[in-house]
Amino acid sequence: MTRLALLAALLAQEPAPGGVEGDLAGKVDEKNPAAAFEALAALVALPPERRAEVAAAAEKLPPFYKDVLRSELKLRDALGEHFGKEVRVTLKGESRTAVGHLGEITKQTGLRIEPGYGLRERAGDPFALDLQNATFMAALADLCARTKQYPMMYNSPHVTLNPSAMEVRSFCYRNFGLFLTNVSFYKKVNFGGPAPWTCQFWCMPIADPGVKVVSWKSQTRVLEAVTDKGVRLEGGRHDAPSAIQHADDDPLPPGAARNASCTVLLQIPGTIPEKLARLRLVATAVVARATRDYAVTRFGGPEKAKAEDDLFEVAVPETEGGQPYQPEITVLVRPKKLMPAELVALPVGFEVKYKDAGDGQTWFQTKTVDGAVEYRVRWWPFNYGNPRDNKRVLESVKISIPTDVVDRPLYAEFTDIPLK
Amino acid sequence: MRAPLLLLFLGAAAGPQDLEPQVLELVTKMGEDDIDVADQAAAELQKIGPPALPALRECARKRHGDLKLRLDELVRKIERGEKVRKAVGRVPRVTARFQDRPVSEILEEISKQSGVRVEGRDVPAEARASLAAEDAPVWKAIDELCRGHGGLMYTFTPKRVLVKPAPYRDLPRVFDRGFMFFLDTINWTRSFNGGAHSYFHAQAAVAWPPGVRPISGALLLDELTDDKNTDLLQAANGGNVWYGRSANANPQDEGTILLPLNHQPPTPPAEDATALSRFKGKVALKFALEMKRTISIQDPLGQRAASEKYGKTTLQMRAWKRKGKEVRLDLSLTSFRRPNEMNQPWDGNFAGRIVLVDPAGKTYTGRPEQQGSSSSGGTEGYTITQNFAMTFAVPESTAVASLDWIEPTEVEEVVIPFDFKGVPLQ
Repeated sequence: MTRLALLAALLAQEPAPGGVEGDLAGKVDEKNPAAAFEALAALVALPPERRAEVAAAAEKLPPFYKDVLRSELKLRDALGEHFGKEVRVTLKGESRTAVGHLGEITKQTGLRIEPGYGLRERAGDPFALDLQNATFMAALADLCARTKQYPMMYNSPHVTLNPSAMEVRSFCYRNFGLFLTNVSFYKKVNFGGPAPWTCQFWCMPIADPGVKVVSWKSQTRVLEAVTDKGVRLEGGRHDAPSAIQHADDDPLPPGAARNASCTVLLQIPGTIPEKLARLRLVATAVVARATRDYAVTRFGGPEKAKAEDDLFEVAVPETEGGQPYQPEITVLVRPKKLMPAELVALPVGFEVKYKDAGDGQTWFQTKTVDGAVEYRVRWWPFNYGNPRDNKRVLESVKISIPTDVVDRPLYAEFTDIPLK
Repeated sequence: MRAPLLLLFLGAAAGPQDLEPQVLELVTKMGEDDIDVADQAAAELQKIGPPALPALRECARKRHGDLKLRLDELVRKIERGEKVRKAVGRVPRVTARFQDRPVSEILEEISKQSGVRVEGRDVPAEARASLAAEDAPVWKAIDELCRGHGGLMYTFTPKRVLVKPAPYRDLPRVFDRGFMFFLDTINWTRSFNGGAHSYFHAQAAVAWPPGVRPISGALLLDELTDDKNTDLLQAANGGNVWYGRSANANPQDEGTILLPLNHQPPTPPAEDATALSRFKGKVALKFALEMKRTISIQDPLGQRAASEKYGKTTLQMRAWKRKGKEVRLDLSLTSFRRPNEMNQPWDGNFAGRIVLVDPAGKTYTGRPEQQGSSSSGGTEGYTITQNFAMTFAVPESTAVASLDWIEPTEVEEVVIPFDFKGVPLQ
């Protein structure tokens, strides 16, 4: 049952003790985390005039869910319109291949989902999906589970799907999805003390277009992790320093790039367990409350390839670098009110379009140059089906600079996670 | 006592002319029938070294037969020894006595005496330490400083050493002449997705004296076992060796003092292993004693693209761009190797230098940036191509006469043995 339908049904019922809020709180049960978070989202969505009742219902929740609800209510107040409006889809039971369903979701939401290598090549049998006014994230999670893919948004406004070697575990809440994949165990002995095994998951965060997420903090905070044998695990840390620093220059300050993945780290005392029964964590999205966008469409010299306003001057002085299959441009951003080091710390985004090349992704390196920040932006297409040796013709460069960013913590819960 | 000391002083300061009588006497002894006397004389001449060369060369010119052959060989040995000494460098040493002094003061003295850039990073101004070093190799002095303090640890970058506030870590290491080889970290990863996988690799590094630059380095293991008696080197081909060359310690890069070296053995440790019982082998560094210009592309900026070949090596300039004093070239370096050459440490090929030369003959070295590599081939051999960009700083008004490839034609190998026991894995 979708959240709106749930709310409508509850509001249509005879008032019960505790009211709608009490009913919703009654559905928050750790035996069914997906239903619990649906109910929490419904509580958060209630109008502000019911806040007192929501707060009273919160008091009766188990501690973890109480924290979730309180955090979400606080965020809703603080972020206002930037709290996000959910994006929804309806897939009415038509039979399509996985790629066909992705196309339909793209048509309804405007968010492109690019089937990755493997899924493009093997279309698979058509199947029916019956989702009525479901969140985009629930639809995406369903498709990923069926096709054993995990999604990723890597320096691009689009989602790409990639094959997963393990069953993908997903968590969906409002505009967000977290997808756990690729678990491994490592130990790094640096002769500075004990080096236990650390369990590491890739945690792929996805945000739909209803909320303006520009980056994610690279590490999640583990609140609770319990194995199938009831052993509690502590969160791990990457803290084994090395005596070798590979670059002579100091590493760039954190936040220099739009981070597209998070990691979940757990310390493993003793032998490696078979499964996690439960994992609760907090991932942190970086939401932009204000962004300045610059579009450069005419090239052929620094004077033409420029855009500016009161905050930044943006130029594209070089357009011919890199290789034909991975061309590279140089973007120079001169801040007018910030120091260059402050600009480097902002998650700037690039959307580069080449003629007849389809959509793609970018990666960049930065350095400060004479009071400006130089971005060497490399691009590659989602689909290498186009001839690799053709020289690319640059059509447009869009630069997005978030000028007001805020951290948005996201509580999440997973159950029954295989480790082996 | 004074007279012998005076003679010793005079002997030490003697120039080639002063040595002529002594050289002549020893050359005469080399010509004697008694082999022991002849060999002893040759050894003493080799010990005198380069100052004896002028007289030795003259003697060799005037002699014939077997003695001439031995004199020529001796001259070659001394000349080579001098080249090796220049290529491999002197041992940078430190003599210092500090008791509870500011860390910054001690680091400054170490840098001054050794020529190595040793810098404090985030060390509080009030931090103090002690050091007692007597003619110690610089790497040992830095290690002793940090060990004695307990709350300082060194980090190597390609061109300097940073000392930071951190708990001291007793790394497995050897100091050998002017070199230091150390094990930095051991990384072990296991995953079970799509079957069980285990990846184990050791990250090590070798540091060398400032002012010299090896053309290649290799980490070669003779024995690698864990405490469960697993032979980690066991594999069908007898062992897997990883030849280290870091992109940041490229031979093109002036001023580097460090080469990271990784080793991934074919067999990981046993699941319940707690230590490596033996990590034994050697580091082999190759130094160029002579470099020769083998490829020269004339007037590179007068052409859109160009290519020249010498032997197995082809240098291709794919594109160039000049803006102000910055000249950026997109380059490819291609070499052909036979199958039996594929598992040897790189030498010659890709161990050379790329320079720009102006009309006055001045050379400019560039900053490299890897762009990728490819290889193709089969039973006859492999063609390996490295693509990279190089950026040179050439004054705007200066023309570029040629783009040259300079490669080593005579090479000396320095071997640094090590034998670590009981290396912990937990």
